[in-house]
Amino acid sequence: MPQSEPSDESLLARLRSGDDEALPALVNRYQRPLFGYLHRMLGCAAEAEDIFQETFLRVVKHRARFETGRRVRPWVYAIASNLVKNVYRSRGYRERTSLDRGDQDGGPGLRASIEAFSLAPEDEASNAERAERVREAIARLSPTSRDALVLFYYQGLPYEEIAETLDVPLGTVKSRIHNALSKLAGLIAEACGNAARSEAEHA
Amino acid sequence: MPDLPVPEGTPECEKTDAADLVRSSEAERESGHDAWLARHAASCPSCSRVAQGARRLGRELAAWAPVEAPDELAERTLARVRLAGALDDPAALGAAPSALAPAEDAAHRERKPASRSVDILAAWALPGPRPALAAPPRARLRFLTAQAAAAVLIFLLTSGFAITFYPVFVEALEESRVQACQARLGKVTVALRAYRKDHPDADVSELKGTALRDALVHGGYLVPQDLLCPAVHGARPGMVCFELRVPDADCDPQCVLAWDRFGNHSGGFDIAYADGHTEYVETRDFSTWLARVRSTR
Repeated sequence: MPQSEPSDESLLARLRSGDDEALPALVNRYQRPLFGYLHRMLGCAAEAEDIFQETFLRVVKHRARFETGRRVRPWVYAIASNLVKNVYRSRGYRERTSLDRGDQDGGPGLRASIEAFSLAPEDEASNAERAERVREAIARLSPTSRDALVLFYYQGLPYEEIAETLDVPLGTVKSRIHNALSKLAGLIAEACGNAARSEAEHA
Repeated sequence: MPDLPVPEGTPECEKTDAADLVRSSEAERESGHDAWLARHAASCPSCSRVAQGARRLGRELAAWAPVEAPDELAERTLARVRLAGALDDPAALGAAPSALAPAEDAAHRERKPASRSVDILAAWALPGPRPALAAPPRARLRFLTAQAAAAVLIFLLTSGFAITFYPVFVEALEESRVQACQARLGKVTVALRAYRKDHPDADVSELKGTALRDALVHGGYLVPQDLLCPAVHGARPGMVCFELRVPDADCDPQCVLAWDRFGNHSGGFDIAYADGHTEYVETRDFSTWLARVRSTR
């Protein structure tokens, strides 16, 4: 962000003091990244827009409750993440705890998975095909792992902000991200292998 | 540099945060921690594979490009916030108050502020997700207030109706009881005259109350029901609700033969004469009636 632009915190402070001119700037700033996050989480542009609007409606409604000194970005993402969970609940999704081993230390597991992934055969898939298999692989993650991974990789939030967004300990965030990447590496490697075998069969 | 601090004495290989490597960019790889990793990986096959695998995984993940946000997303969001009344002064939003398309926005600002229902209709007419159907708290409060006001109004109307028409209802009920009572008194006077006609020389000075009742009932002149006043609650056959008098043989037609006991009716009592006609006299007019009757004797 250029230094001449006000920070998220100063925009929210102006909004709290009654300066409604700060809201358009805030909404425009989050339009691309937050919509991208919601679309990746929900898979539907219409729902993503609805949740985007609802997020900022709640930001404005609850601006008085925002504690001075906190960072705005994790707060906004926390609101959006909770709304996404509501959507999942309405879809009837039940968390399968066996797949979300958030408390396990994923360090060695991730290293091994990444090492194995580096040895997996590469294929000649197009960008569209890569995107589709990544989308399918991420969709197979549990919602909590998916949330942590999307915030980490696609939104670029640091570990501490992800922990603040999801309201979980730092170690839990790291575990979830490592487990998600480890599982993704396996799923993508499997998809690459299947594609390579399919090409070999048709050749 | 990785987000988490690396404790001193950590083995070189364990300093590598594979997750951070996945998302690090080319520029980051050439500086800072990644530059160190590049030097370390030259002599460590394991970390070399981790770095290679992380970069490849990062390339795969990067293939899933984000969907661009709709052009009017910000405008529609601001419109929804304003419609919900979340901001105290919607006019302070300035450049983006409207849910209309940009081409119509200027014309909309020139018009007088539209009513809330029109704004909602305009927001619904646009493509894209519909505004939330849940009413904001103020609208819910207005609805509840309207419901409460309607309930109070209905209660007042019902109460007013009851208060207005209850006396009329009571009066009509009493009137019907008076008519029924007069009919019975008429029967009683006919029975008394018939008894006298059948017993012209009988001494009836002691024939009163239940003795007279038994004489009339057992003689077949009346049934027990005829001696009950319809206005008396709990009156049962066998009771006598009237005062009776056996007439003389040459009784004057205007002679009173039967009348209500005091209290049968509220505010008055029925009187039956020897000629068979009956009359309702109000209590307040009793003195006047008595004077009239005495004057005719």
